[in-house]
Amino acid sequence: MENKTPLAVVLALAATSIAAALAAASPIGFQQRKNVAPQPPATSFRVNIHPLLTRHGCTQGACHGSAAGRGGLRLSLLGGNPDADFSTIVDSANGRLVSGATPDDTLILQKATGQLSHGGGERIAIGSAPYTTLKAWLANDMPVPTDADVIKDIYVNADASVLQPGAKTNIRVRALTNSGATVDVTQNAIFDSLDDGTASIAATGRLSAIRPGIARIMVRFEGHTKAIAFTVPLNASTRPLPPLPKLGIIDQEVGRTHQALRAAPSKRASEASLLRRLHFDNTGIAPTAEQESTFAIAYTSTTGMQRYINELLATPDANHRWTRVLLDALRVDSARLGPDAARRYTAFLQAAITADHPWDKTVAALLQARPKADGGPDAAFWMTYRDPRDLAEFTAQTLFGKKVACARCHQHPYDKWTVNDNVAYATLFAGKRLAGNTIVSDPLNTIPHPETGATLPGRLLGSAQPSPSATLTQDILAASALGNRDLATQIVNRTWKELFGKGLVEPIDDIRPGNPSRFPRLLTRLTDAFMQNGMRIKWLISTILMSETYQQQASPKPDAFRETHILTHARRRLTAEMLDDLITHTTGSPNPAVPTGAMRELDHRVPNTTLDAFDRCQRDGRTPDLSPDAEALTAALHRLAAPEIQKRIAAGAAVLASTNSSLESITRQLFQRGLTRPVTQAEWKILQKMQYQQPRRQAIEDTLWVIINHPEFGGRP
Amino acid sequence: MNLLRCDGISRRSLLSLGFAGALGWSLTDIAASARPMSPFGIKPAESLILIWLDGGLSHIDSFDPKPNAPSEIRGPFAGINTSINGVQLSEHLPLLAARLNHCTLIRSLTHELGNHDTGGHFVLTGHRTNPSLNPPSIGSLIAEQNQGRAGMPTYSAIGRMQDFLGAGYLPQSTRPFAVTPGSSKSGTLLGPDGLIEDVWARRLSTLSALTKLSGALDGGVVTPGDGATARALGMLTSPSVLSAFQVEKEPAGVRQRYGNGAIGRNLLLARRLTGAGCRVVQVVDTGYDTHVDIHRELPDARFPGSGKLPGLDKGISALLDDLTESGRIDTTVVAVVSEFGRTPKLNASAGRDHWPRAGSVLLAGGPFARGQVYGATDARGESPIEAAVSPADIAATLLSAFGIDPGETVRTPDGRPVQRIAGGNVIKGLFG
Repeated sequence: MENKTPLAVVLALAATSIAAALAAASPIGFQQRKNVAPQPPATSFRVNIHPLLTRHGCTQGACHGSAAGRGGLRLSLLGGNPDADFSTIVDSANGRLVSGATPDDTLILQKATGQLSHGGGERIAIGSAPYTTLKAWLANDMPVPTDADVIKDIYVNADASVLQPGAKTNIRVRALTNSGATVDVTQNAIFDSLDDGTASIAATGRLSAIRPGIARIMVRFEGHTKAIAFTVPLNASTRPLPPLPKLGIIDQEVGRTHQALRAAPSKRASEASLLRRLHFDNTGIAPTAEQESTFAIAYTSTTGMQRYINELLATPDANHRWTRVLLDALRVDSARLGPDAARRYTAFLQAAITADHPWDKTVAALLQARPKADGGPDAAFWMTYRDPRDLAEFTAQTLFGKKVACARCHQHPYDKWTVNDNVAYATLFAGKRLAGNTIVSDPLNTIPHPETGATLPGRLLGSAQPSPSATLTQDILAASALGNRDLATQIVNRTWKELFGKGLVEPIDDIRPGNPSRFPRLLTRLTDAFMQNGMRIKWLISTILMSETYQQQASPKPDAFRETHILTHARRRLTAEMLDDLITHTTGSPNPAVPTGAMRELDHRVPNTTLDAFDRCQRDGRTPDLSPDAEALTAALHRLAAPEIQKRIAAGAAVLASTNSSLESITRQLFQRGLTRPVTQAEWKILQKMQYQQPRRQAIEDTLWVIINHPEFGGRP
Repeated sequence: MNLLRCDGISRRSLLSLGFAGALGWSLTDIAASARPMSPFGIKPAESLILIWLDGGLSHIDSFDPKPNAPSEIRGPFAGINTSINGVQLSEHLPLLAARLNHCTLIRSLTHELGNHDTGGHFVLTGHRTNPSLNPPSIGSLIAEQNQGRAGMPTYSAIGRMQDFLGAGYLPQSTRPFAVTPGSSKSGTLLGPDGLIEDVWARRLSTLSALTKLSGALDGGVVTPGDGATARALGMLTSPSVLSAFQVEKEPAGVRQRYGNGAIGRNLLLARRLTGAGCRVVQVVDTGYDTHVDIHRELPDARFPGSGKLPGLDKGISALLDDLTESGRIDTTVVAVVSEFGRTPKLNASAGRDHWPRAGSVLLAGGPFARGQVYGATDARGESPIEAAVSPADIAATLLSAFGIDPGETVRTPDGRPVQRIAGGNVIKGLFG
């Protein structure tokens, strides 16, 4: 106990100055604080010893963190459970592992330094700082951890946040303990660069800028995860600062990033590109000739664009398209739900999109699952997964962006959710079962804790208190959705991905401090505005479409830097349904499996080879990869040579051949239909050469084939 | 006009159009990379034909008969002797019985997952289902480390695709290329009969010229799937690739040897695809979920020679014969797997239900021993009594047969370290 007293005094001293320490934003202030507040002696298991073991790899899955342990020592995986690890270390090997009497001879030091045979080899050097720390802890008789030094939070800062390529800076990490002390824990924190092409990070926290971009560094310490971002600007001396846009959250925030990067935004997309983009993003269907001429005028003015976008978003095709986004995300599967429930679920979502119903209220209705006489969703959402744990994890991730599935077995090392959180949340989905379209109580359907077997009271994620047991859990879940910020952030991020090809956070449904956005202010401000506007998805879509950022041109070549930093749209392919409808639009010959169009058929189970070959979304949680470099061999073969497509080409050509139009006007029209732009003179000459001396019908078939396989045909500009 | 079928198009004429070069497609065959010896001192195999018997093969009625058990276990079929002394197979597998001395038969597969999706997932990926890990199929794991040769897809799947047959956390390029069963003319790969050389030539040169222009247009032009289009064209314009997909090119006698059913035809296709350069071909045969009337489903007593087992017997035997004759058997692994066995006791409908505690796996070729029975179930066929193996062990062993370390830790795209196959041991005793 003697060695407790000075520690406690130091902690108390540190506590009095914590506010000042936190307020000291500048790294210099931090340095000064460090000088005046003496460090606590290195004898705290939680602050000094346990993180040291994790930092040196002892708790890795391949080492002592493995489920069976290694060499007779089993620690918690990635140091997830410090208390258990303390007991294990102090009690194991009959006290030979650790001993205060002769620290140098203990197994822990002998093994870690490789003096005794150790499967993990030499982890620390004799006489090094970690060696000295461990030795000091042993010499102090391994004090039992107290509540006072539980780590409450960590703070991360750096000497500089803007770095030229090649420059270096130091990241420092401080831990705040329960007693209010802050301790520099940089040497035992774990650093990972999330953008290692932009900046690399050494184990010591020393950051090296490599090339222009935004580099996010994830910092972990004892179950706490934080991220810190650095900007590496483009060649600063030669570039003028781009002007900061004055209007609109999106353009302001993206402009701010461009300024920091000293990068110029892309030019506005051409009329043809923007028209194609607007229509495929919002309806999945190419524009009609009439829409093309209307847009020519709309393109020239802001009010014209706003009117065009409003009218576009009000079309039934836009409602189909945005309903499909929800159907894909919510995995609405007629095979799993049954055709009747799937139809009612689909109709409910379609009505919500058409009326621009507040998203939180839509979700609340899905969760509440009240039996509805008027064709509402009933318990359709609850039919998505029969296992309450599956349903809970799906709900948390898809709707709220919280990935709690990992915590079914153990806490994810980069996330905060514990097994208890997982069980308590899943319990809200248990205790009931489905009877037809309604939910009935079933007390036997419980969620046992995987380790203890005990059941826990139901509790919402992030809530400290169990939910009231007298209330129906459907009502608790529904109420939790109303005005829920995580729900808003998640749909904002999802909508952004639909329109830009990449979310502001990726993966889009895994939003947590360790996986930060490159544009955190943009995501925050856009979410604020979305909530202030009643969580209306069409308002959000319209706001994004009207931004300069959305209307800028995509790069003709892949450009990871520009695509990552929204200087340009991420290049991507059309979805299976869009591609199929575009073939119909171009040839005039529909896919017989979906006579009204693939985008308008909201059931993804309609059997069809073409849609399968084009890799339609299976609504199983995996979204087809639409990036241009994703291997789409089957789709390419299908477009080039499948009989299904050749038949549609032939049928379309037969009809066109029988008209009075000239071959030139047919060719120009087909080109416009397929690529949403006029054929250029050079292209027309090439096509003319192909058509030369061919029978009219053959010439049209060839032309259709070439257009359908043209590299622009399957793309969204 | 020179009217040739598309498969008759000459490689030279397309190359002279410069099209392949314009799209960055190289017709140079990818040479087999030098492979390290597997840690178990075996020569790694080059291709895998994985035969998936969808539904759960009844082990007692096929590879693990119990002729001395009571009739409600023994079932309707007798056992017959095989080319391995003292080992019997079902009477409906006579051709395989004669070739068992070329195979390794595992009779001690066991696990606890009795649903088609969970059990199938475990067997085909070596991983139990896990909400936070989407593991790749065995085929994708092999495809990641190998390339198809001569323009062939690396990994092809013939028949119904299971959800868990995919690339999992690996790049999408390791996903199987789906080959539509049935006539190859109606499949994904081949065009209609009428594709003729000058039409192709005209279209391809035009497309090539337009492709060169497209990058120069207004920003916003994308060239999606360039690589895929070029690869697809490489396949379509390669006579050897096209020909590989055309089972009808086989003499009638060969086709008859494989059998007229889907399984025979698909196994013949698998032989052609691996011969042409595919590394992994998965053949799915459905209809093994025999809850009712085993005696009508497996063989159909009313129509001698029909039913699942006779078709399987014929097809696999013909495949083994051909691989042996061509010498490819030493570099080609044939694996016959299913999600689980079936209940030893016949149910009230004269069928058998799901039984993951016991099942059989047939392996042949590559480094696997010729003429070995590994493991055994008890007298009632309920549980392994020796050398029990798990689906993870099978997956690990298959990977090691290709020189791939199943225990190596790799990282998923989100940074999670995972072993290729966790908790699976390579069964060294299976190697010859």
